[in-house]
Amino acid sequence: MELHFYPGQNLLVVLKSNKPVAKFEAMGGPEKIGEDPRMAEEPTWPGKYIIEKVEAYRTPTWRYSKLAWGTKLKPTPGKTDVWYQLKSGKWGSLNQLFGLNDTQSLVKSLNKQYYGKSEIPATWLFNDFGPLAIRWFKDINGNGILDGKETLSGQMFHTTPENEAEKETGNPVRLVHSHGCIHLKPNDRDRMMAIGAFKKGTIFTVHKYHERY
Amino acid sequence: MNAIKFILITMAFVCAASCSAGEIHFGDYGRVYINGKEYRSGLTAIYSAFSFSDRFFVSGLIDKKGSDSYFIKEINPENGSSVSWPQENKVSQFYELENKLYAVRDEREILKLEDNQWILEKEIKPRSYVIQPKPLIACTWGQDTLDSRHRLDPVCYSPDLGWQKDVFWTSTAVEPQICHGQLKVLVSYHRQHALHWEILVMNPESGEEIGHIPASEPMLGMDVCNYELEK
Repeated sequence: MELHFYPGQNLLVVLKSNKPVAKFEAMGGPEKIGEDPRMAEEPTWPGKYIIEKVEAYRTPTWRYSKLAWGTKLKPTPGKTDVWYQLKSGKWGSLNQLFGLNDTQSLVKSLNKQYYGKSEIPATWLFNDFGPLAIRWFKDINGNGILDGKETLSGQMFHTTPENEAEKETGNPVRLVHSHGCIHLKPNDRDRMMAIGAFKKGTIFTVHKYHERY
Repeated sequence: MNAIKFILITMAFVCAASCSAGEIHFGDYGRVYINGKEYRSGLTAIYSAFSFSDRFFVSGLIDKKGSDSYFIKEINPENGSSVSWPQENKVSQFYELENKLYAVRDEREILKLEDNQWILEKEIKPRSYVIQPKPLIACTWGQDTLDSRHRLDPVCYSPDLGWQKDVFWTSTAVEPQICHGQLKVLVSYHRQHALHWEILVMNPESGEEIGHIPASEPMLGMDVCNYELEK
């Protein structure tokens, strides 16, 4: 199986024995460097890559992505804080993790914004990278494995909290340009997972913006 | 014996400093402490507490089966009774100016207590934190999300002095302050796919940037006034 992304067409094609078996709408970064002052949007870099893994991505770079999607939450009655479950099974303070003084209001307002419910959800639903990120790398030495000076790309396939909520609430899922990653619709991600399109070792090509399928 | 005497003197000093008339603070579960004595406010959570002319005010919410109602309450320390003023949204801050009490609501309003009623004093930006009441200087907080549409465009501004500046303040636990004539705000920025923190130092009169001081990640109890520009 091979994956081909045509950023100029917002198109992701899955090939099996050189024949297309599935096509999906997918949206990468803009063709030219953008002007977001927090982190400039960049093109999804053309090249040939290898799929390495699927993970619930976490990063300290973005506040809401410090917690993995699906981390258990517990409202703290009588406090302006929310507890989140640590790997050990103990509970940590979201106020402390985020450097905020009222995460209870914040989480309620995020839940209201995305799901229309002004309550603390049972799990964290606001990681910027969605429940799962599909990671790839450039195989510089051509041996097919992630080794030597090769590193996982900062660009990855993922969904967004907004699109996950749209799916969950039965609203139309509308993709937007990314900062360089490739945005997928939640149902399409699930389907690609089901057909094994993100299996470790899958060859993945990002075509140039002017290239057409 | 001397040690016991020292402890007693120390305790007396601590009490004089923190148990003076008009002292109020709050704890969890709507508990309020006025001059060291505990009271139940009836609120589920408290955001702010303030003593004003021997009167004691708190703001907070009552959570009834997932539905939040917001209130300002005045607690009578004589008998623990309270007077409530329902609010449309969260009151995050109180302050005193020229012998009047003011409350800052999250959604665009400063209220003034007049004849025991809260009346609209001034419209401000949503999510404002008032740093200085006169001339008014405030900052609004934003959200650090990857999706730029949801960042809420945080600014510091002074409607009285006529300036406004984009300032990426997101850590509400570390409040902006004016110290020694400088406005200091903890801000974050991204460089090479990593998050960095610094104290932005500004002239409160004009909003002009004076400098930056590298800072650590925000922590509860962090005080921006402890950071000084290098001479």
